[in-house]
Amino acid sequence: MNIIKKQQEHDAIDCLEGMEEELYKDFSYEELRNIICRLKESSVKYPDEQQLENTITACKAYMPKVINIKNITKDVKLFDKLKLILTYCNKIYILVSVLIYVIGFYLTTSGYFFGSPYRAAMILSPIPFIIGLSAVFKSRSAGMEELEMSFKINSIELGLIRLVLMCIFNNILSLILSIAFLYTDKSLELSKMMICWCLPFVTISGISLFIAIKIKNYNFTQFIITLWSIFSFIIISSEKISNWILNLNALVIAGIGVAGGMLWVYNIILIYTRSVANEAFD
Amino acid sequence: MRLLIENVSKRYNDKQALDNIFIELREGVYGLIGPNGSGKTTLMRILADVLKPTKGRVLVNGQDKTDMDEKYRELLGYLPQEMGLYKNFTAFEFLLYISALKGIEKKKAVWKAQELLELVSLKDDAKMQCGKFSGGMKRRLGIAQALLNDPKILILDEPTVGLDPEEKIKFKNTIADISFDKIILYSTHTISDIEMIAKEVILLNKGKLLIADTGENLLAGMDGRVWKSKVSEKEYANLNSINDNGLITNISRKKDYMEIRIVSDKKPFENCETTEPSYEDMYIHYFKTKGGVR
Repeated sequence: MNIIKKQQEHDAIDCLEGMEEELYKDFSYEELRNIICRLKESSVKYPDEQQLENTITACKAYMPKVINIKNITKDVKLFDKLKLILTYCNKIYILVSVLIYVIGFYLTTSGYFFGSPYRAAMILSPIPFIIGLSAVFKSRSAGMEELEMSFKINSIELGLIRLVLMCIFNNILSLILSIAFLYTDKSLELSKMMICWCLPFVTISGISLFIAIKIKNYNFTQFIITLWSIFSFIIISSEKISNWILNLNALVIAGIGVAGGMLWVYNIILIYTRSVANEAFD
Repeated sequence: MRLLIENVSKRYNDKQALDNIFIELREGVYGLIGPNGSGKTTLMRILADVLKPTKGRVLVNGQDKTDMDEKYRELLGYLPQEMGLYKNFTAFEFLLYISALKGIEKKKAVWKAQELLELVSLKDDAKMQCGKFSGGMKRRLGIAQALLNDPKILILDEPTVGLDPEEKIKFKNTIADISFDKIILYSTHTISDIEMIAKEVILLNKGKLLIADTGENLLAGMDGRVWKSKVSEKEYANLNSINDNGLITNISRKKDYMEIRIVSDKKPFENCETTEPSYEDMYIHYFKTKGGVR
């Protein structure tokens, strides 16, 4: 027993030799030796499984989360995304679109151009969408697409929201124009007026979007506008075509509407699934 | 943080761009080296969430990046090899726009944009339109945008292209400085860029992972394989024969002689002595087929 005691005292002195003076300067040498000897004599019971579990559970609250980052970014809600798009949208685009509709309305009601409000609605309805398409693909034309794909709000998401906003804006303009025509000319029919702007909008916007996705060139807007101008000229110069559109039966109208809608769905899938335009190897 | 690239493959039609890459990354700088077509940019694009792998997955602390979606992109800072700018924006406006896309609050974005413009020496050009920027200025603005959100995973594809020597040094120091709490993947063809700052070097070739190890270990593996020799012009002209035994990695022309470095498993010729291997020697050793350098 005495030998064990001696050994413990010896160990305690060894411990002190290894310690920095700062740690034991407030104790006398004897006090320290007693503390160390007492600690050496005492034994700590190994905890059972339940105690271990309890300790882990208690400590979990203080453990870092899966990803512990400095909070510089915030949660982005749909409202924030809309705000972002509206903040950075081209004000001239809105102005030009409104102006086209106002001029179109004036030229029609004053009898200078278009011939009839139906034709005017037909020709004007997809124009704001076509003009705005370049904004949807602006990251691509600026060479920013690859970079913007890596952002929290990525270019695909942003492009799709822009598309939706443009459609809403375009249709609001067409609706206002229709109401204005119906208000000024009581002989016009609401259903025909709706067909006149809904049908060209759904089909032409779908085709334009398809062309814009496929033609990775900034000039696609000019290309689509040129195509639309030719089509408009045909409508204006030939009363037969506009009359044919106006007198389409309900089944054909529904068929064109469904085809346009399906083209839109196909376009959205294309936007989602396509990778970055430039997939060149390094 | 632990970023695990787990058996990632990418195939473009008939070409295998990446083949079963498995790498684990933790905080620090990782130099990504490989010749053209080795798959560096493809790997970086996958990590930047720009491309989807054909096979395999990328895990952040055990969580699949696909499931994390925007929470993953929140951690990212990415500088692609080539990037355009919105020409009508000023440098400051550009950074504010990017901040908004990264989900940074406006006040913090203003403060961060100013700080970074100073860091990349564009403070005086903050109000200049990006369309008027030189190549080097565009690159510096690209670096600034990558750092805006204090990213935890920073992916830099040839970041120093177009920078002047002073800017290169400043950039490398910045990267070394911020790397303590970030995973930085740094792709370059300029070996000296990563020599001092990379914790590990990842060598890719033809879409496959050749080796990933610390620079010290890679260089240690080259011990006794790098030789130097002083030769005359005439002797140098007759050195074609050594291509069977080794590769000349460097030639420096002095006044009366030429000093050459050779990577070879055995002594290439009599008048040679071993020397300390460099990163360039290592690159040549791993990527050049014998007889292809001179």
